[in-house]
Amino acid sequence: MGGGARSLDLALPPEAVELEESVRRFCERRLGKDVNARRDMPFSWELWAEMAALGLLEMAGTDMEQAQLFACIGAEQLGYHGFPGPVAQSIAAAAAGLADWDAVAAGERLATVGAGTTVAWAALADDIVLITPAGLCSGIAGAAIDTLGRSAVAEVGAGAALPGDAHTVRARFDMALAAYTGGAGRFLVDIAADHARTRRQFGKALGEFQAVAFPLAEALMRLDGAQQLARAAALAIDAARADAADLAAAARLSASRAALRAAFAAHQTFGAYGVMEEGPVGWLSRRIQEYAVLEPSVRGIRQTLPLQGAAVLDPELWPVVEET
Amino acid sequence: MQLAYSSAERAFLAEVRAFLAPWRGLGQYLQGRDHAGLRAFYKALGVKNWLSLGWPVDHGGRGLPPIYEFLLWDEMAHARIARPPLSAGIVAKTIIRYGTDAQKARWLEPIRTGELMFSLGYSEPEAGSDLASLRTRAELGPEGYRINGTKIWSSSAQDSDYLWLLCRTGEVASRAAGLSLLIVDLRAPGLRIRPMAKMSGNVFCELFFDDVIVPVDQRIGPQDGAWKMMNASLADERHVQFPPKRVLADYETVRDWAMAHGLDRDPVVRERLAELAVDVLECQAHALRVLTAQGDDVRASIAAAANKRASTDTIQAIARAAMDFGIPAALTTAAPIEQLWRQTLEESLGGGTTEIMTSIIARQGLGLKA
Repeated sequence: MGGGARSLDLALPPEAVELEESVRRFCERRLGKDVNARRDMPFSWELWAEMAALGLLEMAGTDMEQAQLFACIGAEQLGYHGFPGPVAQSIAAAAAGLADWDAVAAGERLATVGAGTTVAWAALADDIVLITPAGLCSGIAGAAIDTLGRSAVAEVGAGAALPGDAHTVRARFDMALAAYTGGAGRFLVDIAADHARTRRQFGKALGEFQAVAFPLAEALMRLDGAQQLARAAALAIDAARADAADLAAAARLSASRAALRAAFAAHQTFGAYGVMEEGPVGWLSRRIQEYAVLEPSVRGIRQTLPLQGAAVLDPELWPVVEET
Repeated sequence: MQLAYSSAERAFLAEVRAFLAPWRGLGQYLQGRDHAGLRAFYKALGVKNWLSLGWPVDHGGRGLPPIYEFLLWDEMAHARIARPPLSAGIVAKTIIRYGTDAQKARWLEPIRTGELMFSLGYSEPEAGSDLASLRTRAELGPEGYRINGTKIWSSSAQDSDYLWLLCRTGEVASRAAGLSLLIVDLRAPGLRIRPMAKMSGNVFCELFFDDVIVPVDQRIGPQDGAWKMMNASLADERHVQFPPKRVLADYETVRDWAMAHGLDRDPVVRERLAELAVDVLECQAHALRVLTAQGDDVRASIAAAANKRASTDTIQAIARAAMDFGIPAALTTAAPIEQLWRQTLEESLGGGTTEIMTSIIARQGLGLKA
């Protein structure tokens, strides 16, 4: 029973851990550890270019081994810190065949991806990629729209066809958005748990009340599951599995509902402070909700996810990895 | 990071499937009432030396990593054949870790071959999740331990050979520090067993101890030292506690039933099935976390609690969704739906309640003392 192949291993490769750490350090340095600083941080070209200099977007556009896993880990961290801008959308745009992709990867141009007629970050983007039933096309930005999530949404019309593969772009979009959204949800659980450990009412910490602790624990459980699905989806894309898009879509649905669960638990845990404009939750819960609704939407996933796909994570379906 | 079984693990899985093929009709996973059939099946597993896959080689086992036991029982759960016997899991692994040489010689071989069946005697009428408050007393005298008290919610005690009894040997105030583990012959004089029907069709037993005598050499580990042993045995069994393919099997049952009735053409039903498919995937993700967290006790504990909580939530959601789809065919006992509705109720209680699992996640995952 020895065998020459590796068994299951969820540990990230050392290079991915290094990337995760460097993105975390960058976010803490530039966005601050204090949630209030992050909340007030708008999109800025300077900040975006600095993020791009970490090499994350460039890597997402390569065929490097496990490139999408690295993109996924980076998106998790950027989501955790609520980094402003089209993070997941840019990772997806890497497969769209944009003429100026190198400039996008360098943070000199801004790209976004969406579907339908309202697209996040389209009001700021230089390149808009629309996923349509017929394939990819460029989008032409119209009027900006004020929205719940404040993610620079604009009306968009269809332009010229793009050469990239819509299926691939969609898979990366769902995977990266799952990672970003899941990371954002985890941040909200962490700050709410921190509040519940320190805020005292009725003579004890809020977190000693199961009515407070359990919704946060349930959100954590859901987020942990979603994180594994997003990372698995990234690996499936890297391995060019035929069902990678299904796993990515499932991961996005999982992450979206887990993050919303986390957001609503956090709103409640913080009490009245949790519903204030200057409170620690709303700036990010708005974005999580907005990303779930904008097309390609989470509702669309519920309508199209293959019902036979509940086993796509089965380790038997993955190619054997030989010991190196 | 990689999510594939190794080639050796795949070969074992193929062997498991081939072995299970003639047993697929046994159907004792959801209902374990065919005790003769189960005994025959466990003996067949014993012949393969598959009840002792994870035991050390020098105790008659195969010395394989936990993933092999997982593969066996996950496949078994998918085929609804049977659950892991308590004897080869908690009982044998505790004896291996804490038993004397004489106890190992006496108990391990008949367990390994599937000859002996055990039932669990932990809960009491006044001690459910709070086991440290249990009161069934074992007094040490010249003839051995004299046991008085009542145990309840013991599965299959009416058909088993021995009881794995958790009892009080210290003062009541000693809580967890005054508990011991004894092996009790279920035919011993003074022991009365009252079977009680569960909604699932399975049986719980209540056991009444009236001066039941247990030889001292049937105490496993030190007197008053049960708590540490129980925690160790729980850790030993995390990887087989709730197999993800049980959840998948429930989903496939309801999905196929809904499709056979054309319900998936209803967009509301379709969206609900997609949500459930993602729930199933999350359970698989949790199971992978349990499998890969071996050796890191805190991480494994959180992962196992999440796996149990998510899995039981999901199977109940699956069964209840089928009822929500709203056709009378769901109610007929000829279809599998109503059985799932009944059976899944008990899964969030046995092996640690949903509330205990959530508390573990809150405490160990978030540092909240709930």
